[in-house]
Amino acid sequence: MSTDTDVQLVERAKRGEVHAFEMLVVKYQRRIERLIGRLVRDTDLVADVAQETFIRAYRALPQFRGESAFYTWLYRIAVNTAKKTLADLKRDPIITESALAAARQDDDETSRPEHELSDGETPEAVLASREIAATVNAAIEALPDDLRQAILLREVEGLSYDEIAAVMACPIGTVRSRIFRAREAIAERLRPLLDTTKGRRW
Amino acid sequence: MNNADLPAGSDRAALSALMDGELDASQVAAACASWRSEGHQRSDWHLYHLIGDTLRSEDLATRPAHDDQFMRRLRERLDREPVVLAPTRNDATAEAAAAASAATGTDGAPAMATLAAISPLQRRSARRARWAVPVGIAAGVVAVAGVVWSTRSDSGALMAGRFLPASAAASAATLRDDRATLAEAELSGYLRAHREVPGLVAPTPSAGYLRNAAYDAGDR
Repeated sequence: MSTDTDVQLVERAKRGEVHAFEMLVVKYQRRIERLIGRLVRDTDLVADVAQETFIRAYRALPQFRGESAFYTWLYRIAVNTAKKTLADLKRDPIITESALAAARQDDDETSRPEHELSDGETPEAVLASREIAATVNAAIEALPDDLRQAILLREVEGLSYDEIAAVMACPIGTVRSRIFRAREAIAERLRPLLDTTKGRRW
Repeated sequence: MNNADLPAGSDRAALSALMDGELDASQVAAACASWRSEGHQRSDWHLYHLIGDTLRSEDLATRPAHDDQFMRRLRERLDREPVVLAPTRNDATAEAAAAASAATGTDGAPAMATLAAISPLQRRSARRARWAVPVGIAAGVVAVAGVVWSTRSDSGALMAGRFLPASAAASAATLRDDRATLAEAELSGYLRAHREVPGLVAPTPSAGYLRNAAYDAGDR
């Protein structure tokens, strides 16, 4: 999805624009954390492994040749960083009690050591995530048909503006405008949910 | 692309088009610049992607505060990293090697990442090691020269005859390669710093002499 953007941002990052790399991080961080969460399972470790993944990707950026999509490349780095972390944890069990218990999965559920719930799984976090999903869904339902169709064709079906223009039989500028207006309408509903002062975020 | 439908001056609209890969290079440059300088642009970029992720899969609807915290933490680490500067000219050998490692699949990526993680640091330490020797020798020469000056200060005229003229010293500094030029800059800074300590080294005319002696020592 939107690989052109990735190519452009990667090129800029390669020329020393760190913020272009940060834009890619903002884009992919949730997917990378979800991927790592499936491999590592210990939620305390997920963010650490994700951080390491992005640092490794940043360092390896000069070697990235664009033969695969940026996300495919990032995905590989994430998988290997997760594997390496698990291997390191097995060698050094002192820091790994909860992580290893998680890695053993469910075969010994009763003796699994208790560990404090981390950020990703506190009831508040789960609730907040559900609230965001519900808000996005409600906002989509409330959109006029042409805006809803445009953003779903883009975000869910992954069509380009050209393709959406063909499907919706309208000029490409209209597609661009509809998608933007749809995003803004949803964002307007989400902004009040952001739990820090608006101006101080990011 | 027709911008007529969009609100005038809407940088949010540009971000929206950027994330869909629908901006040309100059527009991308402008959008990236405003992303860098404007907090609300960063916030909107995040929000638009959060919306896209949530539409595709509800389990990606993470709390914005978590993402914010993640980015802050990563930024602190990125600040400590050497800036990435990929060569713009084509280096056939490096490209072939990079292509080979990229093509090795699952195991290729971490190896490549590790390699790249080490190399900037290695480059740095190698550079540091290269300077450590001549600068160290220069420090020794400065100390010795200081002693010589203080023991022979009564025969200043004799010493003056041994100093190279400033112009000769300058032309000597331009010889050799870029390394010598850099060494010149580095050494003169070092010597200037020491000259500011009263009574430690000889007065200004000896600077040329000292620099020359340092190179002689380095060549040996």
